[in-house]
Amino acid sequence: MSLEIVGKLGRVTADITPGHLGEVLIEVRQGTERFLARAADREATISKHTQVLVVGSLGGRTVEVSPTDSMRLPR
Amino acid sequence: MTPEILIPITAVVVVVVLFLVVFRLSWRVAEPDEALIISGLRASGRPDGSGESMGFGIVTGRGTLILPGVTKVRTLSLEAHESEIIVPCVSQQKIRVDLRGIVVYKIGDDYRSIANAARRFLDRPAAELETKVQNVLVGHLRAIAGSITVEEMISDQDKFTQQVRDRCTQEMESFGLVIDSFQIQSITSPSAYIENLAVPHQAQVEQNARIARANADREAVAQEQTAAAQIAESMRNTEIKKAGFQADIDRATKESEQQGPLAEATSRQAVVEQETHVAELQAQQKEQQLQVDVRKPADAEAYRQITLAAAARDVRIRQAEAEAQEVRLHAEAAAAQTRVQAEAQAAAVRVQAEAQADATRMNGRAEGDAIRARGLADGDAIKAQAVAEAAGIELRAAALNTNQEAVIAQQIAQNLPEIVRAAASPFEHIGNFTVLDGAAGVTGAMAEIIQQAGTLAGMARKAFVPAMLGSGNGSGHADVKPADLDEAAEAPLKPVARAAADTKSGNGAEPAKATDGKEPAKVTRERPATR
Repeated sequence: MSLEIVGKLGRVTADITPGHLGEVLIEVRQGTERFLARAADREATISKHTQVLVVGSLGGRTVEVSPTDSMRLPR
Repeated sequence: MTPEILIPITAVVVVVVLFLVVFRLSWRVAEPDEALIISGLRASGRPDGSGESMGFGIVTGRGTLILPGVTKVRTLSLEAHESEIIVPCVSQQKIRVDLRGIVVYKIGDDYRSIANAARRFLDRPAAELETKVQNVLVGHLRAIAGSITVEEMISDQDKFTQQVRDRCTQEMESFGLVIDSFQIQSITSPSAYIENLAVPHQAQVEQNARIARANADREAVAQEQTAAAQIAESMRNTEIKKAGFQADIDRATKESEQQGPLAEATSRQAVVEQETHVAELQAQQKEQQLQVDVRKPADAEAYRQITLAAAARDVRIRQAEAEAQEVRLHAEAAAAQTRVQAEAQAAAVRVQAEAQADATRMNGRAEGDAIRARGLADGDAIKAQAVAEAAGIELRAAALNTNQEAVIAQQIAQNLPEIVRAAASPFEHIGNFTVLDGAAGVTGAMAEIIQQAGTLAGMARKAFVPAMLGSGNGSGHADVKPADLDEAAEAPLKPVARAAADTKSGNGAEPAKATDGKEPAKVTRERPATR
């Protein structure tokens, strides 16, 4: 489970700020699910509607993301 | 058909049917919104191997074969649940507010969540799940509300949601639940705090509304008044125009009503004018007739009478002029004749007197004769003079109008001796007349007196000579001596000379004495004749 979402693209639905978890919407299992998210760069702030790449899983429904504005992966 | 054949066939069919029935009973299919929780024999041996730790298997989205009796299959619903949460809480400003929210949650789709949920809620009624969720959320919401203000609750939904996510996610994950949505439906305050929050803005809005309404009302009223004024004005204009038109109508009506009488009067006026003209012509005719009948004859008669009167007057004037001319010619002729005769006589007398004077001077003795002859001549002359004066008086009366001054002078001449005497009277009572200036002084005084008398005598002579000539001519005496005339003229002077001589007494001159004896007699004789 944890590994299957790593590498997927998601979209921030709640701001990710230092010290607070944000929320990302990730396509998984032919649907979309919400995951709590933390920035890979701890000090970064990722604003809403930013496309992110899931770079890691923190266990459970929390993932680590990195902004990927320049990345466009084929579906 | 033999029975031996039928039995195996039937057995096979029965076996097949039985097999199908068993298979049907052993085969379970998971619906899309549910998960099959399989526990029992070989439950953890599933190929997906998700739930191996706890010894049960989880099947989602497909079928699986179970072994009835040794394997237990239960379903866990993955559908969403909705729960209403009412939280009485206190905000950061210690203000009591009531939050009412809706939370939508479901069991997570991943095996970890399903496992967590299966261990907690499997075979439990949905109400228990809801109660658990509510209790957890109420506690967290109260804590969240205490950390933010009412204003933030109202306006900053994201912040609230963020807080909810931060605090509740871990507990929900342990329940295997995922919060799909959390919405605060209403925030109410028993202390009317929220209502009061709105008051300033509300008052502002109300004020603006009232201002706007007042302005609108004012403008509306102004517009209404303007419109009313315009309406009134237009009504007034209409009334004025109506009145004007009505006046025009009335005037036209009156004029049309007056047309009849007016035409009648006009025609009557024309008739009267014509009649007046006729009367004037008649009057002129009558005047002309009168001119012809009365005035012209009268003028002719007057002219005739005037002409006749003028002719008669001219005749009378000519007659009078002729008479006057005749008289004047007669008088001139007589005067000329008299003058010639008198001149001739005067020349003759002068020659005779000279001759007599020479004879007297040479012969003193002959004086008496001469005097006597001269006295006789004087008597005749006086007689002739009287006759002549009588005629002269008549002539003088006739010529009185023409030469009145001469008459007056004559009167003066006649009274001259008395006048001179009166003038010389101061000298009569003088006994001794001493003249300091000598003989020349006496002579001056005498000459002064005599000069005065002489002046009067000159005037008298001027008036007297024509009278004498007229009388002489009228009486026809041509033998009057010029000397007598001179004597008569100088007679009034004699008494004066004598009086002067008397005053000299001792110095008496000879010529004065010589005349002294005769002259008084002459004068006394002369006076009555003159008077």
